[in-house]
Amino acid sequence: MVPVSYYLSLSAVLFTIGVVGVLVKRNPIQVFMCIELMLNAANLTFIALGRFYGTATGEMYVIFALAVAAAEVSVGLGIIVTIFRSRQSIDLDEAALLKS
Amino acid sequence: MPAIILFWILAIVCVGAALTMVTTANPVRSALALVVCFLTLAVYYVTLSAQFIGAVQVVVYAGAVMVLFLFVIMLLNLGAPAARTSEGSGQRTAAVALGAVLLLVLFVSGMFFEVPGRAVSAASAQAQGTVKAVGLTLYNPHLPWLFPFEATSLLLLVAVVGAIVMTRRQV
Amino acid sequence: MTNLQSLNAILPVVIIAITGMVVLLGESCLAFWRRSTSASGIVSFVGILIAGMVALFRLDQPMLHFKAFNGALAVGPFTQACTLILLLVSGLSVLVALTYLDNRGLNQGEYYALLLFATCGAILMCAANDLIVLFVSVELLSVALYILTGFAKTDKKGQEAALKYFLLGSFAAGFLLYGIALVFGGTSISGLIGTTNLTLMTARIPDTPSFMFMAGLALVLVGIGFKAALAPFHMWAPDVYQGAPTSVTGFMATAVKIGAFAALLRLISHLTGIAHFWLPALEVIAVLTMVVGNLMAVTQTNVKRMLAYSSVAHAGYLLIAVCACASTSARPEALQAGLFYLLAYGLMTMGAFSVLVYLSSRNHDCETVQDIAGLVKKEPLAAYLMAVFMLSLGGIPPTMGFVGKWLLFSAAMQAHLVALAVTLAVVSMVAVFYYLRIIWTMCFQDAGSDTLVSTSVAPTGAQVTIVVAAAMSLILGVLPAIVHPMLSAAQTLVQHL
Repeated sequence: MVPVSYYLSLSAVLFTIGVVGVLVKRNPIQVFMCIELMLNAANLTFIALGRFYGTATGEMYVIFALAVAAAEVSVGLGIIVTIFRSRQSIDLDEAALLKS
Repeated sequence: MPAIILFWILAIVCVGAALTMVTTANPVRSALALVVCFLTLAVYYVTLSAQFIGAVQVVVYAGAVMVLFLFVIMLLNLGAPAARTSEGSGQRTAAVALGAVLLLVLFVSGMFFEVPGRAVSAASAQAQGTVKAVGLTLYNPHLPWLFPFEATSLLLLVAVVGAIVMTRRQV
Repeated sequence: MTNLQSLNAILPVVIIAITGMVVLLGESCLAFWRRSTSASGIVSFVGILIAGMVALFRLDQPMLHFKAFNGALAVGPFTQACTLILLLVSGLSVLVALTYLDNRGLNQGEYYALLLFATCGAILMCAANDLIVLFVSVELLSVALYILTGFAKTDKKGQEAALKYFLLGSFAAGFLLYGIALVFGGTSISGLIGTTNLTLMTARIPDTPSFMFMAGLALVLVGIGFKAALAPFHMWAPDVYQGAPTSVTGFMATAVKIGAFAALLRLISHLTGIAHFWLPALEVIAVLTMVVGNLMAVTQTNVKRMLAYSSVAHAGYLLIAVCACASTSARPEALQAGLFYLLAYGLMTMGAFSVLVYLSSRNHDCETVQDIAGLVKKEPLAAYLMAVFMLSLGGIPPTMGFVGKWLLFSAAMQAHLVALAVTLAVVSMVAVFYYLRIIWTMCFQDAGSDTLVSTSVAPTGAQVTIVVAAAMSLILGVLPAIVHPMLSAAQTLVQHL
């Protein structure tokens, strides 16, 4: 039996990779993928803890997180597509109309 | 012992895929690496006796969500990365340093964690991961999960309306 | 409470959600509805009015001192008071939107439906008694706002703002969810399984909580901090506030902050036992937020950006109320001060943005300082009322902003948070400078040649909002006792955790 701390450490690694990815990436789609990785790291924590508590509680959180992620994906990709339509580019550096 | 070996093999694949996703400049490669990462997570869920969530992970995340990502990448023709001369190296260093601190904190918080005073047998854990057990917990009128479930339905309605509003052509 | 009673207890939310669905259906199925440009807005306003009456009636009903849906929601007077403030704000935003959408040619019923669903999310944030409910309701509010921010599809700035808001909002959601996961692990002690229910959590936390719990709590606070635009997580606010349609900015600046701070107040009042862990961190963030917000606001030439930084500064003031909750003796005062300031902030910010909406025309958003230069000669009434909002935001008597700041100051002194009280006093001086500059520009600067053209469509909705907000700011500035029943009911949050 793998101890629960292994899973928690693994999800910590995945979460950190996601956070660093969000901060260094310039392509919105890739930034968004890194955010998805962060959410999945949290899901792994929930499932691992739920398994070691011996209840289905952990799985409840994952179901809500999944629904939220799905909602975010549809809206987020919608925003990205709209932006691309109007300016043919989605680079975060080029998107800089908003300045002080 | 086999469980530990499986854990390590999957961990290497999973973290490797995640690192590939972050380091590559090509969005298609990123997306495919993320699919691999999500699939290994699905295997983890099955070994953690959450079979239903494992299946949902494959169908929703590795399937629907990532297909949507790839679809948008292809639609917008983002496959070829633009040649990049000046990446903000200062920002990158700061981000990695911040990540190192975060990793340390999260590692310390998780590394020594043990669920105190509970030893759950594999068989009873197995029973908690079925569709039946998940459904009975989610829709149980004496548990608090019913309300967030209702709120989620409203959220999905907003997402549907929002996706249409965002992408339909100006009338 | 049974589930039916629980549903009854959150009747205002149910009414708002149903109104949203009615608007969606009416807009898509009924031809006469679609022909009228304001049917959706009027129906939404009526729905909000009914929900507001229900919430007002229920302000202090003893049966509501319970938890609804088996502990998922707390529906006590604190929730009802926050609901009232939120319904007021969203009712005013519907009126503002009636004008703005007409002016900009954006008349689509979905706007109102999304606004109503966002209001549901904000109300549920105030009521959430379980961290996962908080997560879902934060997302309900945020997802609706991402779309509203990008609602003007021909406006490139709006779309860029929507993308930024979306990416940073989802980033914050990631922190919030991971924090909840760690709390779920960190609350398991001596054979009990972990929980994210706030009531159970309070009983479960030992004097020295586990490192995992503290890390989880910190991540949850980071997540909420992003939503409430606390420094150093405020970077998105100026860009998003500037790029979003003005009517959306007004709603975003008020509703998100009210929801986030209500959630924060509830969370923090459950964690007073371990105040020595989080209080120093929150104090530092409060000082940082106040200083950064006010200093950055000074240099802005765009009024929307200036108001964005000012809203960051106000988040810092509100954080004083949260910090003061740490002290047992000061807690009732702190909760009252926090709620009063949320109401004041909501009214004056909504008022300021609705003046900008009132001055916008079809192809020109009024947003820079140039646009309002010499306003007093062209639109004297709008200029005077804008001056009221600026004085109120600056905390000058006899306005509501002054009373709010005074309450916060005395709560801070009572909780022995001298550093925060002093910072509040000092940065308020700086704040007066840039608010007065707006008034000075309106009164004494000459209008440039290309300044605002008088609006083409009669902007009745925005006028009503401006007058209501200004009147309430002044009346409550002189007679703050009017809302005392609401505040004293709400401070029972302390007794009914």
